[in-house]
Amino acid sequence: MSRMSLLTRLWLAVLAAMSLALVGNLVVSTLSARNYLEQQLYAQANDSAASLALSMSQQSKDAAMTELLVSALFDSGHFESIVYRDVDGKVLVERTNRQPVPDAPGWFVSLVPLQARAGNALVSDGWKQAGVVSVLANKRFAYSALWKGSLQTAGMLALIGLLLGGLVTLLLRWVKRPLTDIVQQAEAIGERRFVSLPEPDVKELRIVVRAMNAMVARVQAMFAEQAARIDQLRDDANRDSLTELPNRNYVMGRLREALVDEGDTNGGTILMLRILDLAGVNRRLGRERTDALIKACGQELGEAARSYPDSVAARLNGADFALLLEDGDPANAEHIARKLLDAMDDLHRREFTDRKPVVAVGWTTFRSGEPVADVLSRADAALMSAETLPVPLAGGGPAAGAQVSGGALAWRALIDRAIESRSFELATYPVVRTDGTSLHQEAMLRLKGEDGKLMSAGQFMPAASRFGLTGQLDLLAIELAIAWLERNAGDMAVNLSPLSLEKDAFLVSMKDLLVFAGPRASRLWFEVSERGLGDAHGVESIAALSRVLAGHHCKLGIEHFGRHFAAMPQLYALSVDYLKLDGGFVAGIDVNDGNQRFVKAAVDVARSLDISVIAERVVTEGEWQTLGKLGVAGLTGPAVTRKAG
Amino acid sequence: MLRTLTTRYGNEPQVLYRNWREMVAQGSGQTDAEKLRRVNDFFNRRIRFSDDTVVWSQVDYWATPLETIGRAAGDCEDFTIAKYFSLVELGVPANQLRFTYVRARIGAPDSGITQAHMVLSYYASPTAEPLVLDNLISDIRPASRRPDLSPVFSFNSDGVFMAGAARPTSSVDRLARWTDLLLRMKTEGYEPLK
Repeated sequence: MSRMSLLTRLWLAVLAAMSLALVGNLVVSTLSARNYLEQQLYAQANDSAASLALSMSQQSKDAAMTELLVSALFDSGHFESIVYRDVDGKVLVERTNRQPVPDAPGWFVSLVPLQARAGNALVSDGWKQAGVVSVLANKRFAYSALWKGSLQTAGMLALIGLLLGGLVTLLLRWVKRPLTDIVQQAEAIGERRFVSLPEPDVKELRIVVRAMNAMVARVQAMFAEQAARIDQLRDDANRDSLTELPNRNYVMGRLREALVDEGDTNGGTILMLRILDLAGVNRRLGRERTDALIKACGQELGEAARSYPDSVAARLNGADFALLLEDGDPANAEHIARKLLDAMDDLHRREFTDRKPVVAVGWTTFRSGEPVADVLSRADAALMSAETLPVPLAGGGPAAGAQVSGGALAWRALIDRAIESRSFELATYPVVRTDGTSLHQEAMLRLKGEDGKLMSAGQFMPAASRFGLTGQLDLLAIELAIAWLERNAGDMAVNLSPLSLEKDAFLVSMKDLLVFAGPRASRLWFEVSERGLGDAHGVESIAALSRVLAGHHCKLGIEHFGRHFAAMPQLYALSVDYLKLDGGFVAGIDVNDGNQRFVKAAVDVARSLDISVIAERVVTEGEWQTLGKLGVAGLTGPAVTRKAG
Repeated sequence: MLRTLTTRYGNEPQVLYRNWREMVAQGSGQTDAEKLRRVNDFFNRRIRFSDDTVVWSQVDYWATPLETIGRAAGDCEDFTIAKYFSLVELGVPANQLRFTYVRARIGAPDSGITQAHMVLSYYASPTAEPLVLDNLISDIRPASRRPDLSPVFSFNSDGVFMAGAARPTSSVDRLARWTDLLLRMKTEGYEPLK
C-alpha cells in the first residue's frame, strides 16, 4: 500500500466510492420496489376479500353455494389461498395453491423475501354473523417482477459505473501528465539538467510548475554564474592586461602539454614574434602610441590564432609574442609565418609605427616527447637569426630523431604488422592521492619495433589516427589493461581516442571485452580528451560510452580539462567520475595566485557535482603541496613518477 | 382536543363537548345495555341530522366524532362513527360492534321508497341477534323489531381493517377510508382504539 502512487490511491478511492454508491442505489431501489409490491399484494388480497364477503352475504349460506363462490374467485385470479371460517373459527372452505417455483432464483427469494398480508372480510347472514373470509395473494409474479426489475437496475448501474470509471480514468490521466512532468523535472535537476515545463491547465499544479520553473531558472543561473566566475579567474591568471591575449605562463603550460601528450597529435609549431626596435619606437612616438602598436600587434595575432583550430596566441613580454599551432608541418609553418609578417607590415601603412619591417618572426616545429627547453632555444635561435635578415623570417624543424623513413605507407605497414603480431606493451604511470597512496596507474601503449626499440604513443598515434586505426589500438590497450589487472592489484586507467568513439563497432567490441573482464571491469578507468566535449557530436559519443561503462561499474574521466568549464554541469549528466586538470594550470601553481584561485574554484564546483579532480603534470614538490591544499583528489606527473619509482 | 375544537368551531360547541366527555367519564361502571342507551340517547338528542352535502359540502364524508360535535350535525355514518368510538371508550369490546350497511324503507310499511343507510349493530355474542342503534328512531331495538331495515353488508375494525391501525402501515392503508378517519382523529388528539 505504501508503494502505491498518489494517483492509484485516488483512483481506487473514486472506484470504491462509486461502487458503494451504485450498490447502495441497487439495494434501496430493490427494497422500495419490494415494499411497493407487498402493498399491492395486500391491496389485492383485501379488495378480493371484501368483494367475496359482499357476494357471500347476499347469497344463501348452504355449503354448495359457499364453496362455489370461493372456488369461482380462487380459480379466476392469482391467489395463494382463500379460507372461509365460521364465527367460531372453524374452517368451512379452503382453497390453497401449491406454490409453484417463482422465476427468480432461490437465493434472491431468500435474500429479499416478500411478506404478503392476508386480507380479511366479514360475511353476514341477514342480521346474523356468518363468518370471515381470508384471502392471500400469489407472490409468484411479484417475485418475477422484483427479480427482473433488480436485474435491469443492476445492469443500468453497471453501465453507469463503467462510464464513470472511464471518465475518472480520463480525468486522472489529464491530471497525471503534468505531475509526471514535474517528477521528471525534479529528477533532471538531480542530474543537473535544467528543463522548463509548459504551465498545465490544472490550477494547483500550475502554481507548482511555476515555482519549479523559477527554481530551475535560478539554479541554472547559479551554475552559469559559477562557470563564468571560473572562466574569469582562469583568464585573470593567464591573460596579458594590455592585449587581452594569454600570457607567457599560459602558453608555456600549453607548450609543455603539447610536448608530453602521447595522444594522437601530429606535433606542433611555435612561432615567436618580436616587435623590432621597440625602444626606438617608444622614444620617437611616445608611450601611448607604443601601447597602441603593441595592442594592434596583439589583435592581428589573435585573429590569426582564431583561424587555426586549437591554436593559442600569447604575449610573452614587452615586445615578444608567440603563436602555438597544433600543426607540425614545416611548410605550413613557413606559410603562416610569412602571412603574419605581411599582416604586421600592414600596421606601418596604417601608421601605427614609423618603421618597416615591423616584426621579426622565428618559428620551429616540434614533436611530442621533446624537452621544452630544446624547443624554446630552437625558436629563440630562429627569432635571433630572423632579426638579422632583411626579410626577418627564419625557422626550421628539429634534428631528425626516431623517425620512420619511407613516409605514410611505411607507417601504415608498420602499425598493421604490429597489430597483427600484437607487438604492443603497456607503460604505466602512477596516479596518487595527495598523501602519496596509489589511486590508479595510467596506461600508455608502446609499440615494439622490429628492431626491439619501443615507440611511444606520441610517435605512432598521429599516423594511426590518419589511417583510422585508433579503435583497434584502443581495444588492444584495454585487452592489455585487463591482463595487467589479473596480475596486479589496484586500478588502471586507459586513454580512449575521440576518433575511436565515433565508430559504433568500437563500443560493441569494448562491451564484449568488459563482459570478458567480469568483476575486473570495475577496476578500469577510461579517459577521453577534453577535445571530445568540443561539439554536440563528441558529447553524444561520450554519452554512449558512459552508458556502456555504467553497466560494468567502470569509471569515466576527462583528461586535459581546462577550457570547457561551461560544460561542467553537462559532465554530471554524462556521469563523469573525474577530471584530469590540464598541466597548463598546474605548472608553477605554488607561485601563481591566479591559478590557485582558479583551481580552487574548479575543485569546488566539481565537488558539488560529485566529480573528483586530478592534477596532471605535477613537476615539483611545491606544486604538490599547493595542490594538496587546494583540495584536488589526485596527482600525476614527473614528481609522482619520481617518488613512486 | 378542546383546543382543536375551539380553534376550528369557536366557543359555541364547548357545552356540547363537555357534556359528551362527562357522559363518557360517568358511564364506565355501567352495564353494556346502559352504556348503549346513554350513548344512543346522547347523540340522537343532541346532534341534528343533516346531509354531508350541507354540513361538509362533500358527498359522503366520514366525519370524526369531534367534527360532528363541532358542527352539532351529521348524517347516518357520522352518528354511527361517534356512537362506535364513544362505546369503545366506555369499554364495549370492538368485536361486538359492527357497522352495518342497510336498506331503509321510509314512510308507511308498504311504501316503496328506500334509502341507503348505516346503523351500528351490537352483538352480545357472535351468534346472537344484534341490537340496532339508529339515528332515525330514538330507542334501541333488536334487529327483528326493525322490519324497515334490510342488512346488506357489515364490517368492523377487526375484520376489514387492521385493528388499532392508528398509524398507516403502508400507503395502501392511507388510501383506505377507515384509516383516513383514524388519522384525522389522531391529529385531533382523540385515539379511543389505543
